[in-house]
Amino acid sequence: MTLLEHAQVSLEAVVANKLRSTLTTLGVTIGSTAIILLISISIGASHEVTKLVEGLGSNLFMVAPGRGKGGPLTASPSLLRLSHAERIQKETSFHVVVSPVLNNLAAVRYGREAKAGVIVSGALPNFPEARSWRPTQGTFLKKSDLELARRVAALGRTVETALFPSGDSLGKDVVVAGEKFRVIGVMESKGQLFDIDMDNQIFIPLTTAQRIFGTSALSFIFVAVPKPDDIPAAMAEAKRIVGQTILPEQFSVKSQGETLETVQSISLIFTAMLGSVAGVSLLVGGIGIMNIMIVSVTERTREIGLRKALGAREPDILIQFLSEAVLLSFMGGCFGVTLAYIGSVVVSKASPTFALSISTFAVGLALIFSIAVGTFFGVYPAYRAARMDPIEALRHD
Amino acid sequence: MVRITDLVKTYQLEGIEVRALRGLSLTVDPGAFIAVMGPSGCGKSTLLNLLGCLDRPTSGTLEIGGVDVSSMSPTDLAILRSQKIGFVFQTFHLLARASAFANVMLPFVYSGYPSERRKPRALELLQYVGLQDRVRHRPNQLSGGQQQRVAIARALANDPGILLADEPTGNLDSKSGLEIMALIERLNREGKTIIMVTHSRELAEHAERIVHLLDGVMIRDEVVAERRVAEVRPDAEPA
Repeated sequence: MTLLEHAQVSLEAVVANKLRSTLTTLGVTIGSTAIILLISISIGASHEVTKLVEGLGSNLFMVAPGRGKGGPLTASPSLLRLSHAERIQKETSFHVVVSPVLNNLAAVRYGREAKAGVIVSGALPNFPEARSWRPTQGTFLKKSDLELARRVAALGRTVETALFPSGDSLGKDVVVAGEKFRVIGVMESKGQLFDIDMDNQIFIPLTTAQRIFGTSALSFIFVAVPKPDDIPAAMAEAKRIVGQTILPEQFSVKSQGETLETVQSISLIFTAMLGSVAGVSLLVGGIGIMNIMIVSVTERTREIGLRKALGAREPDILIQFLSEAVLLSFMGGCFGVTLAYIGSVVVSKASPTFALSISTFAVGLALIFSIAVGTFFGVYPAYRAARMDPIEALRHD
Repeated sequence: MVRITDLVKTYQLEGIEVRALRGLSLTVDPGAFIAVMGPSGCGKSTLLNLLGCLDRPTSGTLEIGGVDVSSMSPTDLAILRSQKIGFVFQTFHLLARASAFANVMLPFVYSGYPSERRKPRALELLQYVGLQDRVRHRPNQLSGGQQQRVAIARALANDPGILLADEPTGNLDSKSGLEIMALIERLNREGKTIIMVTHSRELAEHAERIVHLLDGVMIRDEVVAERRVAEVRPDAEPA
């Protein structure tokens, strides 16, 4: 008997019981959907992580207030001061760019257009260098802007688009916290990092920010080192330097890698969750297939007897029922691929920032798993069928 | 030729040893038509199963076409079944979900019959049994007699030398039964060896020889003096 003949016989049996076959494949369907989503989500998450690392600059670390595991924009009472930034710059043995910022949320207004919830970031002129984030029009803040605490601003792309639909923002005055700021530049777009729009941000001189927000505290001190390899050593130095004046629990030094650990651990939890769903469904699906195959073998006892009388050998019967089980399971895998694809479209529609793309690898793996499950759980029923005594089987009713 | 020598078959039935055949010897010449008769439990079915290579004897030898099959492996027996033996069952044993054509095609996959010749051969066989108009019909769309014809066509698929028929007309009305007998006679006339189990004296008289079994031994080997003929032969038919 050729493989094609076996496949044909199996297909006929599966098609003969459409509803039963479909229900039987359900477990494997869910299992392979979970596998595909699982892999695609972890790949998606690692893409996000890469994007974030690139967005922050790979040679960057930061000193943040508190020790919270929150994201970079978590606000907590800060004891960081400009003096810390100056001391890091002065005392570290690396050639670093130290760029402190003071962030606050505020509404920005121009004429009748207003944008609420904008990150107003007090920064130094070295910010573009530290963050690899430069203006595309006009200029960034100058040293004199800082010294004179001028009311000037460089706009993020989102803010500019919201307030100046025609794009002629340079030289105009926007209103922030009741004060007028002259627009001197527009920053390049950094896009979204998770759900935070990095371009919904304006930059004003740090000194001006400290005055209008009434604080001398800093939100972060960004430190750019020449080489990514220097980050651990430079971080240790920064920790020691800042630690001389404030308590260890009052600040933390983190590289983007550490910040992203949170993200990764979340994606790990997700992976584990989906992984166990996948595992359990495949197991249950496999048992379901085994069960239905045992039923099918019993139902078709006479057929087995007949086939043997017509010259079927034990391996012929074994392969017939095994390939039926594999076919069922493989069908489940294919349904799973379809379901996962639909799921990815839905997820991508619902959350455009988290584009879930189905990888070929995931699809391949899910199909291989479904075949493996069918084989594993199909062997026993097929073996039972193959071992049947033809005389008994023919007499069965 | 089929030659049976001192054939013994015992098996365990719920712990009790049942001696189904107790030293049976029998020779069936090629092209012969013999009937096996006897009350139930006499060993008819056991004999037929052994002749069909579905089972192996406890002792004694069974030669089919000069080859001793009594100690062959299950795989070799399966190959032998597919090539040398055709089965016709009382209950037809057709696959319910398959057409007449598909049922006749069934043995080909196990015998490795050349695939390009399968279709014409199956159609030819269906024509032979007179079902050329019922090729796509399923068993439940066919009468009992037609179903048995499909089963006979299937038994002939690989052109076996021996046809084993177990009460082939047992489930049929007398008219269809006679038609089936006519078909069997025709096959015999064309050279097939027929071994038919029946408990009907009337049917057995279509054979040239009746082997009477009782309690696992042959009690009488009767040559039928006046054979019944079911077949309406074209040359004998009055115009």
